[in-house]
Amino acid sequence: MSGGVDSSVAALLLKQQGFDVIGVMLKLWAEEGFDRENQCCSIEAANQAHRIATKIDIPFYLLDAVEPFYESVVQPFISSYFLGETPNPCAWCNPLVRWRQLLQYADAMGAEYVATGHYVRTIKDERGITHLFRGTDPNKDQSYVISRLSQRQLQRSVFPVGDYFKSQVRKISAEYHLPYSEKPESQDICFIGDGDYRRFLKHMQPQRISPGKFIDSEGKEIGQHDGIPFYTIGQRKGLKISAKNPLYVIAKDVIRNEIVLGQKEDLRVKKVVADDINWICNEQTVDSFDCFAQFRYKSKAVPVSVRITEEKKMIISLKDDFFDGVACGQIAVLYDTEGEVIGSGRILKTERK
Amino acid sequence: MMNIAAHKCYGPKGTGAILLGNGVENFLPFIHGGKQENGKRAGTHNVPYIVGMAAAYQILDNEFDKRIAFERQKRDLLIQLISENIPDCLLTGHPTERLTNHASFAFKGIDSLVLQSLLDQKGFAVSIGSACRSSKIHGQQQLIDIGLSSEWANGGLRITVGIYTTDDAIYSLVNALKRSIRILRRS
Repeated sequence: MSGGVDSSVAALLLKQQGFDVIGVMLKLWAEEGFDRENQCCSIEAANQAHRIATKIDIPFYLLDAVEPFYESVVQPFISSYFLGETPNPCAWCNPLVRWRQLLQYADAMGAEYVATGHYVRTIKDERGITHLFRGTDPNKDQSYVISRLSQRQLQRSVFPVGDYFKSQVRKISAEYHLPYSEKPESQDICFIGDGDYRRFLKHMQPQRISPGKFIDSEGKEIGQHDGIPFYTIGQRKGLKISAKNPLYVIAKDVIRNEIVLGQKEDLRVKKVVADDINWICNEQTVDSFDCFAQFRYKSKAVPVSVRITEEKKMIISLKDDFFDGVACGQIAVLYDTEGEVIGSGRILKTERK
Repeated sequence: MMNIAAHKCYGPKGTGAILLGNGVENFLPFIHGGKQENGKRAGTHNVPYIVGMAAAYQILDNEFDKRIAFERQKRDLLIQLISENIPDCLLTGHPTERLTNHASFAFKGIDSLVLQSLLDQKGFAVSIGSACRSSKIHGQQQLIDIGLSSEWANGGLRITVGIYTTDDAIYSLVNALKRSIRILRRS
């Protein structure tokens, strides 16, 4: 429970269905000394969650996952930026910290399932295998970040709000007079005090940030950048270069400390290579299959064909023109036509045309 | 100057007193307004609570020696059972020169936040670290300060007994504690 609407309503729905529910908040590592509304795991958030749990009439406990979170999420987040990637910390947090800690705790408590307020749906088939689907509300669907959970973790997970629209969840919360029903969404990276990752990186690793050249696709210098981690693939704003046509970040070269800028059509991605594959139900053994792939949390899935190599990498070939930024370090999630998650991988490199 | 609180000896919660010695000057009121308590504490007296507090301290005065002996016996039983039954456990503080109702331990490799919640589920209210620390949710500074290494420093637990504590309650608490610690050390 975060003190937010989704996890609160998830707990409420389960309680109403007759489950024996225990409310838990994981205290994760977070920068201190900031006063942001919605700050993750603050004393205020813990008190809010506690009040909500009391209202629902369930116990509430605060658990400490500061160290595992720092090691498994915050440190790799920082390193990833310095490798020229754009990391997705939630995708690591879920399997490595959140579910690992909560399932361990569930075992100690004698609890069978872990429930969260994520907008995804699951169905258990007759073989006992759990299938993962997009949430009903297309604007809130979180299957992208849940796609990293293992089959074992999914089998013990319950997602009570996955069948609802956010508006319905807010309504339930208000009808039941849950405190803080009006609380705004949390948006930014939860552990960064003011949500500004550039300031965070500067603060954590000042000596590793050095300005370098912006170059065009011919290698000609066209400006100065402030440091590789401050830019992400597809970025247009904040480049501080005037040009006839809008310029976009096309590629980053960490070794030469150079960033390639180009036109929108230079962003076109033909192939995406991903490793660290997580299959939700079955390991795909067929050489090649067609499906849909999504490369960012908030972006559309596009038709692709996927080939699995012997080194267990996914080669994802895009069928249509695709100009949205695809950044290394993000997750590539494969869906079928029904919105079922087939599997996901970590984006290793992209090939442009 | 001395502060007392009624609930510390089974009086009503929410009432207390400040005892001022003759030498105390420049006592500044915290609540201003009425002239109650010679202008030192404004506001209508909560007479039933104050009488309740007085009665609680009267009873304490009458039963003091008996109560101390009773608590000490419970405390010592608790310390003895925990020390005998739970491996890798450390009594923090002096074995006898301590509050008669108070025992505190550190358990190696245990996160006492988790332990506390497991015991709560079984109906036992225990505390971790000092109740006076709340700005940081975790990190038991006192345990680090007395020189415990990191594998012990998250495992501090404070258990207090009172005049209504029974031997049975202590036995079942120690059982629950033993079982919970075994589960946590296995995971």
